[in-house]
Amino acid sequence: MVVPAAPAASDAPAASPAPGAPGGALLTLSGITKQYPGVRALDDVSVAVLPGEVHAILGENGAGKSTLVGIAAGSVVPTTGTIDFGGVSAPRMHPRDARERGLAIVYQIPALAPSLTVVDAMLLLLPDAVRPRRREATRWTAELFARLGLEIDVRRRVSAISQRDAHLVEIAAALASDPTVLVLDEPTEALGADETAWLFEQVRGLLARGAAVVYITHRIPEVLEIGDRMTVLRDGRVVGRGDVEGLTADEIVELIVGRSLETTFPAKAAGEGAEVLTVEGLTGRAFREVSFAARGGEIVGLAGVEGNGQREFMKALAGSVRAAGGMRLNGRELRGLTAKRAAGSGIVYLPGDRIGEAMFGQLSVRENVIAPNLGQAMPAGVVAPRTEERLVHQAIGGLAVKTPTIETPITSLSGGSQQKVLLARARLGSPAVLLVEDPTQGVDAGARVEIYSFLRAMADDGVAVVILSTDAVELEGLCDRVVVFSRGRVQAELAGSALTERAITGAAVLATETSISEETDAAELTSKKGLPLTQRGEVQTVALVLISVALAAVTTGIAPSFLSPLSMGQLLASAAILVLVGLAQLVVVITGGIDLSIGSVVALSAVILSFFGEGGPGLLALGVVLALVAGAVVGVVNGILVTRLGMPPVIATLVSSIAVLGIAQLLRPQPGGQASADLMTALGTAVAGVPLVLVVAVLVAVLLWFVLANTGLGRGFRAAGSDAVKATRMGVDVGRMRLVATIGSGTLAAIAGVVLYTRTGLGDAGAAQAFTLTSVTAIVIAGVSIFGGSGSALAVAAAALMLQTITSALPFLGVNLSWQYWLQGIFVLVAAVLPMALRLRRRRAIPE
Amino acid sequence: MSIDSARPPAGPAAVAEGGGRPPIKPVTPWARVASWPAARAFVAVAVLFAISPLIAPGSVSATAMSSMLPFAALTAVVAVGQTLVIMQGGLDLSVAGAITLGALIVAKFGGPDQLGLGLAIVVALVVPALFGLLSGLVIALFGLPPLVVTIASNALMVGTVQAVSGGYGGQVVDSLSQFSLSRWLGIPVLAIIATIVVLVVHVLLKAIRVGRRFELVGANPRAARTIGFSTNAYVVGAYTLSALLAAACGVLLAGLLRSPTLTAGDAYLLPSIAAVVLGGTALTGGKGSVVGTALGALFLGQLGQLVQTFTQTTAAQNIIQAVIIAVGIVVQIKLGGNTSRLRAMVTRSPSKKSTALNEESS
Repeated sequence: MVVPAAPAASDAPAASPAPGAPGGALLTLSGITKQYPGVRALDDVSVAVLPGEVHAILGENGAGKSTLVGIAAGSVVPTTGTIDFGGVSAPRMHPRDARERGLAIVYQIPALAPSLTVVDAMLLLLPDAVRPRRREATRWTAELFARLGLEIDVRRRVSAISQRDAHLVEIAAALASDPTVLVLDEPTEALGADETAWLFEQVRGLLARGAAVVYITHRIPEVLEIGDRMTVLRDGRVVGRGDVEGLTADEIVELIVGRSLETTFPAKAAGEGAEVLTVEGLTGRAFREVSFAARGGEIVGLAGVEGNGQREFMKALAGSVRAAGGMRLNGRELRGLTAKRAAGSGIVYLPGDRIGEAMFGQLSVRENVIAPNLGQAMPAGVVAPRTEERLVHQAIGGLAVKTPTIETPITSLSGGSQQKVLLARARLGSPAVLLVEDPTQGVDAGARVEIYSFLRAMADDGVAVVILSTDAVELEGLCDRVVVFSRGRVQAELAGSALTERAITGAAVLATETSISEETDAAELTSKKGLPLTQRGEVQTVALVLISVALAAVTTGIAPSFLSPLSMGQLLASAAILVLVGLAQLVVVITGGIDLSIGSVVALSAVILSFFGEGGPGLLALGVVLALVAGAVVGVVNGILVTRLGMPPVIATLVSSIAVLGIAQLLRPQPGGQASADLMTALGTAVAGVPLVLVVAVLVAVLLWFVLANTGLGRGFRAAGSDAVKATRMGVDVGRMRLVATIGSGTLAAIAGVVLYTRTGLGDAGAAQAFTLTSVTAIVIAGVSIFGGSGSALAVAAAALMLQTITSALPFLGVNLSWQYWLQGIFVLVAAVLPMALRLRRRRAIPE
Repeated sequence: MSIDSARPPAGPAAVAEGGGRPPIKPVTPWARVASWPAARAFVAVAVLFAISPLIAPGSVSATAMSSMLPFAALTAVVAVGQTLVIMQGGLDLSVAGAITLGALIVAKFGGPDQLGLGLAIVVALVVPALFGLLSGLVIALFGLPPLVVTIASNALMVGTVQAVSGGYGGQVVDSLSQFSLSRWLGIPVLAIIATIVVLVVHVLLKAIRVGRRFELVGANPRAARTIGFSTNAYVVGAYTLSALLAAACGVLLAGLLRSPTLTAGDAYLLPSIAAVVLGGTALTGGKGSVVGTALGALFLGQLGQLVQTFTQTTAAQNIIQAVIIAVGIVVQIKLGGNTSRLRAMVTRSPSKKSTALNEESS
């Protein structure tokens, strides 16, 4: 039976472990409170999870469910409270510890860093005890998938598989890690009926082994199917808990919603208005041939399982994404609709991602209200503070916006007040069509009622209101008509008495394809077939080496002396420096940073070494050690500035670049510290015509390539650079990865400085600044993602070789020195723009 | 089972919200002053000037001022452009190249036998501005990180400097150098020019629609696009203006130095960014204060003056200034705003995911 938490219970000072929970709980959260700026997401919440049970956490959108699981998994730090898990009691959890101690989590949106391959992601997610060795990992993963019946190519990048497949990968990793507690956050949102059945079967298997499952959902039938006990959250508080058995769906819904439907929703439209917005055969990237009409005076709902095209369709109505087909507004043709034209014609769109796409977060309530209404606020084109103030008060009048002043930044308001400000500004523009995505997401129950009546009042004023919602109860209560999407097409249109929650969900989940099959062959999941070219070995590396050779051949044809041993020897030895600075930049960029201090570190290292150039080998070795230590120290400083003090990498390394250059200049105000002739000869040794220093540089490149591709550190680097939030959720310590990367970069740049000294035999503080530019050029040409997350050390080495070939060839070709800079600039722009241009083209393409 | 008993204060709260509404108070003048983004920079400048005579007597004398102000003014001019770019959530690493290019063009072609001073100045402003336009277009249209793009356009401009100069610096005509060194009512003319630049940009940003839109686009480009702004135009404009102002700084610098070197602009890159941050403009973009930036430039100028009284070695001066700038930036970052957007510049999508990161990592 259900024990409703009496209001008094939440006032009790220290929360006792969840009432009714016997000892022996696997996971206990006690007295958890999470305060975000302006919002208390959780207020004194306690949950105890027992062995062998499915513990459902229920609540509406914004009730605090996901925050709670984030706290359990360590990705969110609670303000107060304790977590008991695996025999340890602590005020917070760390994602890695959680996984190691047997807590596996499947997030609502898969937390897999996109640039990792499926195998890499599995390796990162699994705890030490279960993780296979790298060499066996591909086969191991494929066999696991085959056993589970998943048809997902394990060599593909996460970014190349569908969200549904990514979800299944995360579930597979969670199951494989043999957890004591498995947390599933809205797991069936992206899954079809077959997959859901498959998942429940797996869950039952886990329960039989004595594990517990925490199941977050808003789908009541699933709770009835597999739930044992439940905890119900509303507005961040526990409002009910107890056994699921014996309850009906309606009782659970009432507990979750805390209101009866009749009273919260305003009366529906009396009659039908004229068609305001008409769409015929509209086709976009995620939807096809949609015909649709929104009439004045009515509220139309868009529904469907996430990812079935309804969101893209709404964005297309707003002109935010491109679509082909006929659109008319009040009978007038809208061709090639853009966001600008939509706004100009009276179509107002409120995106569901309020922080990202709707609000100007740091700006005040006033500026947010005025933003789309600048014409009204500045009729003469000149700022008019009183007019602005009057308009703002006029706009938010009648809406209970809780804000101290109109100059308060909008982010410090509650979700409900934020949404009201956005609705108020929409009304100020007197729109013809109002498109609202997830109108009540993150909005507390009280404000929700007000938003419903606001939307209805807008409709009553003749506006065509279109809302998109994931909440079928809301759609049923608020809308006059609901259009349900499935696989990008309109599956059903419901109105009148046919418009029920059940009908909406029923139509939405009718047909979905499945990734689960009875028989899967592990060998098929590891084939290289269908892999993108960039992922099939070192294509770029080979291409860059071939270009270098071709360039050298052409130059030799024009000036045969280019091929002389002297010239070649110099080219290859100088290439060693570029290889090393390129690798230095690579390790930082792959973790999502950038290092502008490389040139200065090269200079400092060469200057330090120049004080030891005339001594014997012992002294020289000491010099090398000191130079490398100096480079590492600069790396530590950069890393601390970035990770601990929150300085952006560019600025941190720019500052340290200037300070380090200053130190090098102080040590050697004038170039000096000539190396002895013996030393120069010794260091200039060549192995079969290849300078020793290049051999060293290439060995470093191979080593780095191996580390990045095949070790846990490399996976951590790539995950951190690819998506820091997801990497954190996967258990990667992003700060540490970035610190290790900057130290690595400093050390590699110092090695480059040592090589520079062996080339010039002179300590010159001013001779190395250009290496910073070259290091960036090398990584961009090498196809390293400048956004972080991927890149090949071998390709960087090849790019460095090519750059040096060009630099060395220029004098032979009698070309001006300025081309050295121009070519680098052009290379960077072209190499960076090309992949983006291709991606943009793909994104804009509309299927025929 | 009673549903009512399971309902915490949500119900009553809803009633309170609908009925007795909490009043929205008017903004007090004091609150307006306190929220001025440049307030901190203003205080810092005042304190620095107050303690300067205590540390180094003579560091606020008329002579000291007239040697410091021109350089602070040049920093201010280039930093105003940098402010515009940072307001758009970017960063312009090509100001160094633009300054040098502007300086070298006017030095090489400013003579009466070449283009003549007037035309040379126009060319010296337009050519770097075109490179700025290129950066802006690439950043806006392809969504590439500003760092990488401006590093590349800096390389293009340095190449152009090499081509223009043939590897050697030039000598500016006397009239330009006399102008750069001249005074008006006893105030160095460069300081007056910088003041005018700052005030004009300030008025454009604060008083008219375009300025407000510029701020909104910087604060959240996706939200600005949603309400129908042509965001790309503002981004492109910021980079073009930044290069233009850097080139103007270069022209004036050439006058001041008489014979600008091939690396004349390098010394202004870090100060241009530091002045913006010290002036209270968040590196995350959005609202900025060019007045604050000017104060930041003044602060850096006076700081340099003070450091000079302790050591004449340029290298040592650079180290000390870098350290103080680092401290100042860290203090500004810790005190207000967050850097998520800038960090996101080298990763992908703007604000969204990095805000989440800040929330998540403790």
